[in-house]
Amino acid sequence: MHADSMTDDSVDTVIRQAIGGDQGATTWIVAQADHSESPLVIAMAALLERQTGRLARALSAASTSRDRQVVEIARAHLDGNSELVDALARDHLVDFPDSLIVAWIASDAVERSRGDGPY
Amino acid sequence: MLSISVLGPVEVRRAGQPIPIPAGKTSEILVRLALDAGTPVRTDRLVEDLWGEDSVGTSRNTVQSKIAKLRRALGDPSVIVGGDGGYTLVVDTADVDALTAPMKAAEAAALLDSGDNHGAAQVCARTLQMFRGEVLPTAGDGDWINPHRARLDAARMQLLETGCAARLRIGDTNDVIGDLELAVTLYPYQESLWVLLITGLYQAGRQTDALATYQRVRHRLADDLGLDPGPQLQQLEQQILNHDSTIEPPLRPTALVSGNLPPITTQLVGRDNEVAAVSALLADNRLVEIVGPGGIGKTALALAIGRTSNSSPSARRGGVWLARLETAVTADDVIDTLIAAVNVTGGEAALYERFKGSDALIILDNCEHVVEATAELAVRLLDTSPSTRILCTSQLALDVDGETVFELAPLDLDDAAELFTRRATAQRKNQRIADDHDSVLELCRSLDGLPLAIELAAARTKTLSVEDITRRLDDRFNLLNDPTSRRPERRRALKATIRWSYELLFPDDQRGLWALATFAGGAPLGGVESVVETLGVPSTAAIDVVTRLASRSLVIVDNDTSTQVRYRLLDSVRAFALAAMAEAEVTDTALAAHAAWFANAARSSTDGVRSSRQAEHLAFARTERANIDAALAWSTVHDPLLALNIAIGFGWAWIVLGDSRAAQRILTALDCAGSDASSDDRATALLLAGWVEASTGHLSPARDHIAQATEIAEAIGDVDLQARCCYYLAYVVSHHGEFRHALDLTDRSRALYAGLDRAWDEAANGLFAARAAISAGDEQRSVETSANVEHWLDQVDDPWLHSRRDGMRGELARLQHRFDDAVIHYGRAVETSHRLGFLQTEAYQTASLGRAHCQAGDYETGAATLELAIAKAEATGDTRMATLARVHLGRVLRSLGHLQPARAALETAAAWHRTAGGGEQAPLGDCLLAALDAADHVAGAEERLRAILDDARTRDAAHVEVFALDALARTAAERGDIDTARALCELADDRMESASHFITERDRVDAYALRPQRQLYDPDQSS
Repeated sequence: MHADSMTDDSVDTVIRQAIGGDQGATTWIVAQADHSESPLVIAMAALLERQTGRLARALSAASTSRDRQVVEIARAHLDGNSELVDALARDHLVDFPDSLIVAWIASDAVERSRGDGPY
Repeated sequence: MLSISVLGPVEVRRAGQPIPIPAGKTSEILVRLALDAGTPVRTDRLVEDLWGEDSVGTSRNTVQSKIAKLRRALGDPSVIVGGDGGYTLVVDTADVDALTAPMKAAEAAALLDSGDNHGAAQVCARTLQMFRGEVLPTAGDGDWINPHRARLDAARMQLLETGCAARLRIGDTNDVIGDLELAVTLYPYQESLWVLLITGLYQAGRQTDALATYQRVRHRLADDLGLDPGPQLQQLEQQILNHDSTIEPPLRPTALVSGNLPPITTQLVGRDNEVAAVSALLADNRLVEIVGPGGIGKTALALAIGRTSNSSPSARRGGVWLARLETAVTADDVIDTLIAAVNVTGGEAALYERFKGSDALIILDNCEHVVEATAELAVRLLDTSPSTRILCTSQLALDVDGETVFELAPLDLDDAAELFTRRATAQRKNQRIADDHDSVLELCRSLDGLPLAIELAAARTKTLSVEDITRRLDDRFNLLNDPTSRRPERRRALKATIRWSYELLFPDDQRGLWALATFAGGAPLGGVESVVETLGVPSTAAIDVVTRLASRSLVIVDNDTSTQVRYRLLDSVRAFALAAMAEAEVTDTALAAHAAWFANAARSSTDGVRSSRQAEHLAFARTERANIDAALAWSTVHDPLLALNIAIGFGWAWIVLGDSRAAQRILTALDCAGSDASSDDRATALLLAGWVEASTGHLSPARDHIAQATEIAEAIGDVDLQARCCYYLAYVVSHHGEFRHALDLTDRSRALYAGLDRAWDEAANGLFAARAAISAGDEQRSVETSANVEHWLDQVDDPWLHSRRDGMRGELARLQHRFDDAVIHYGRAVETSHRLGFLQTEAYQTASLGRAHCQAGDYETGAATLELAIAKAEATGDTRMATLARVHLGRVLRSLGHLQPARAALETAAAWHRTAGGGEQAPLGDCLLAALDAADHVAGAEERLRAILDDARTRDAAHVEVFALDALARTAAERGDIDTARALCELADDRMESASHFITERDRVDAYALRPQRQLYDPDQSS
């Protein structure tokens, strides 16, 4: 399925699966990232690949405060600014407690997750 | 939700948005149904009421078609239910103003009875806003409407009375007197209003005026109705004579009475000693300055002192006025900021007039970057307003003689901790922070007890612990620690805290802060959306951005204005944001977006101001004055044509607002645009500048600028522009008393407009034509031009023009010797202008009302009203208008036999005319002064009268001729030359026929003096 034809719930499901270590979901997200208009899919791919370059497109695709904050927290994370990530993630999660990617970043599990993956 | 307003011109809104309703019978049907909203109105009743004598030939089909048209206009067929039998307007009675107003009048009276004076005053003020001029003007003139009009007029009178009574009880004496003067004009036989006026005058310390006013009403009742004043009025006179303590003014209550202080949003923590100390300094010193570094809480302290002043028993009657100077750059900006805060029109002169004799407290906030200009303003205010006090907040002292400086120290540690704890608790939705007190003390110590730094840190307690905040701030302080820096430690602490808070923001929020920093003195959301989008943040996210910034204590949300919510940065935060934006190299991008947004607003301004949405467009131009100036300042350098568009776009709004600096803005923009400006824009700018100059008494440059515009219009063959030039010039030449010239110009304008479909311009042109014809005493032309105005104004929804129509009706009534009608029309015009805030127009119409009172036979009320007009004109800085009213006051006082005050008024007017190079009715003033001198046998007076007579004959100024001839006749009679005196008397009597719309026989003081010499009037006895 193409990422742009997916509902928000479906995107959430795939991201959740990727976070849980599902190789298929991870592969699918990275494969979709170049063509998808979903900021969350692009940001997730950037995190999985450590590709900061993808985030510019993710930001331009993001129109809501929530999505834009996810992209910026991903950027701070990839820049290695853990102090800033900590502060921004706390702020973000107060407003959006169900934000999967940010919770994942904030829990510091990204590195561990990436270590298990193909990239 | 549908709201239906029929009290004034019909206005229907759905969810706040206006819905146009077709004029004529469709609107009348709406009014008819609205007055019985919720209950059926039979079709035959509708036909009979609305079609009257034509009802026999009116079929149900006609009614059905009008109802169908109305349903379509309303956009919801279910709003009107029914069919052949009858129709019901299905809306809540609370949504129809004509049904609400009487209920509110009763509610206000009940509140007053229960002692809730503020509640009563508020209900009255809000409800009186619903009345917009004549009652139910759209309902036609059928008999059915008369009981409704009478009922609603009674409700309006009750609201006026209750509102004024409540305000007197509150102690708002000075402001309410002017309103009561108008009220007694509208309802001269309502004794209860006279009781309030006399009481108000007495409570304002004007015992003589109070007793004179009693005499006014006594004469009025006796002359018009043959009645004595009622027992309440008679008792009041006795109470005043006896200095009865029961009518002494009340103590001021604790509520804010006047001024513009914002409502309290957060409680000041600590500072009790400082409030007491500065208040004590203000009791003994006229200029006090609170000095200290940024973020130390100077503004909060000044506001607390202002509120304390307002709530004390010895509160200042002049109110407490706050002018925020953080965005002022030039000396003009400083003055304009205070002008805007006080909301006077007429520029700097009006500002000083406003505070003359006032015991107001003026707070000039954030002066450090405009110290010299603030010092000049403060000194000038103190010189011209001996009772006014000034409180400044600044990082630097003004350094002027007589200043008293109060150095503000940081909060002591306990108060600092208390402030942090309160703000943190608010962040956590009233859950007290769990961290121990020592941690809080440690944090506050590291923040040097600076309130702003403490607020910024506390704003982070939603997601960070006190220990986290302390650690992160310590890191930041260490990073910024510069042993070589000579800046005070506290200033570094504040900057470090702002930077720390800024760096923890999402990039969108940082850009939001940059966007807000481009605005001067606050920003509307629409503007923020536009600028923030240019900086790469979707406009839809702007509201989230400003909300988050507010929750971080970086943005202040001002929602106390009557217009819309605005967002503002504290000075320290704005300075930081501007520096951060410059570092990001996007300053020009943001400022260009800011200017473009205001240029876009300018494009719709003139049409908006000339429509039924006038109030909101004027409010925008008034509220955004500093931003418009900032946009002009940027664009004159970077995009001069944009600057010219902004200036032209807001030009008409500035004219209606009486903004005396408008000409300067327009001409500066035109100058910067240079030869790039199109001919049309150039001519339009010159016309607007000319209008402003004429309205502020600068007639010579006004003529020059309009002449230049005319040249351009003719060179490019633009007929529309030529027509506009003609009536703008008619406006100017009327100020010179050249009424025939004005008529020629308006005739030419009308001819040029033929077929161009310019209803608004035709209406404006018609109003000038009518005014010129009336002033020239040409009744036939007056009737024709007035009918033309009525025709065009029916197609225009501009309240400003409509208020002038009432004035024109008054002038026409006066010309036709219907003086009682003139009083009614002028009274309405004054009331409308007052309600709409057209202060200059109100002053002019009040002067006309005063003259009409005299012509209706009530000279005492006429003199009092003319004095009121002078006060109103001076309060708006319209010295030209004040001078015109003074000429008439001199005439009236002379008729009343008060020769010294008459001379004083006329000499003041003559002095102004000499300075200004003339003015309307200058020859009349000169003639009356010469007549007074002749009566006192002053050498040369007779020669002056002859010269004035010759000039008046040339100008066809019949009223001046009459006064000159009378005075010369009296002089001749006094030296025994009876034949000459008789001949002159006869000439004067002949000319009086042409002047009788303007003056009365009672004005002819010299003719009166001669009447006992019967031989002048009976030749047989002269030998």
